[in-house]
Amino acid sequence: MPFKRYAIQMKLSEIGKAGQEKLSLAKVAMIGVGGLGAPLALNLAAAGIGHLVLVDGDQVSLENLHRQVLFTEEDIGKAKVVAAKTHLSKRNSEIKISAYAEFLSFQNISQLLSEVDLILDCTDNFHARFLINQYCVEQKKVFVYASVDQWRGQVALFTPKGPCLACLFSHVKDGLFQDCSQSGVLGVTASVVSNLQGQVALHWLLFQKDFSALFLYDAKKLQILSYKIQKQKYCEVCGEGVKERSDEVIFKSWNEVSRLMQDAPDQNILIDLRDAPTDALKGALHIPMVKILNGATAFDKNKTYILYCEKRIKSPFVREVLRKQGVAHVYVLQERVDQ
Amino acid sequence: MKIKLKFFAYYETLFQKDEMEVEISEHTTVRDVFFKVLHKNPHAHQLFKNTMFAVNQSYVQSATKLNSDDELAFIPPVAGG
Ligand SMILES: [Zn+2]
Repeated sequence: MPFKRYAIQMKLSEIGKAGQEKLSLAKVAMIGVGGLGAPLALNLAAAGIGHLVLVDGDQVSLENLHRQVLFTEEDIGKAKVVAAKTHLSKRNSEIKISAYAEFLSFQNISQLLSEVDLILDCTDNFHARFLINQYCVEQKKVFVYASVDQWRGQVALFTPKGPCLACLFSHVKDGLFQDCSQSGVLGVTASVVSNLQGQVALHWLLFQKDFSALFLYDAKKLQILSYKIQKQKYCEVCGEGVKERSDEVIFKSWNEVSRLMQDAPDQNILIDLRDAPTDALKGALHIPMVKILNGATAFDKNKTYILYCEKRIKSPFVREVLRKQGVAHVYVLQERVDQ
Repeated sequence: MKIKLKFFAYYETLFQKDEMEVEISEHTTVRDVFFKVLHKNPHAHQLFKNTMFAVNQSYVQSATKLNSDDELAFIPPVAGG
């Protein structure tokens, strides 16, 4: 009998054979196979997710074992994704598992994630989370955010209809909210949060259920609270872009920029960040975002740069990157330049 | 009028409690309350931008005005994984 191993979960009237077939056709990526990803991978593989894509550049260490219960002592020093694939395949040989021993970056993200149906953010930092978020908004993909620290965890599903992660938390810098004196976690706490993430993921895969909520888990009170979330009109990633910063110079239209460039063409540089534009605004330099992020382009700190792209998603991101490098005068053209 | 503040994660540690009542005047916004209770914090502005606010368990913009007996939650992101 096909699907025999899933008989008990298929007994749930909401799942049945049709539900199990949906799971077996699903391609799900897990970014991070650590505190969240390792326990969750066990359950998702067992549940019969047809294709799991594991992405993590880290190796197993002794301190991982108390919570990353997928791994054994023999795995210490091995790539997490390789060890994970070995263990998961033994538990369910009917599913496909792809293992990528690399950290997610701008360079590899579309190659790794363009074919997947659902992305699980099991990372441990906001740099990676915002990368996933931006990619999902741009490519209209769905992801489930989860995080855990000490006695608390958060979980939320983000779909193309919005909101996105940046609607809730706009510019998180890693370390800002960390209580550096004592960041620890119990294995059971990480497992609860990761399985809550798994529950949200399965609700999406099986029923396309969007809770539009941020779930907060408090392990001390044994409480899960749900907060309704909403798309922010001025979100820099999925909305209309910056508004709240009154000190920000914003160029609303091409006409404004054009005037500026006529006045001082050497001082003001307009940059087209699109990958392969078929047309460009007059006087614009075409430098794809990836090239800037790779550090392949030199910027003059005394000049003014105005960025534009197709959906205003890349521009604010690149602006922050350049500002961190000390280029103070970087601005975003608000007008959309459609391809 | 009185409102109830509810603190999560970072804010719970910061204030050493998970809720607190505050007295506010009419037309006070979420933003006003945040800066009132965090006026001593040197990172208040950065924290503000990265905190989700919810009134009676629903997301609100920081310009939202509060009503008597509202429950205003400060929800920061949780960092690890
Ligand atoms: Zn957004």
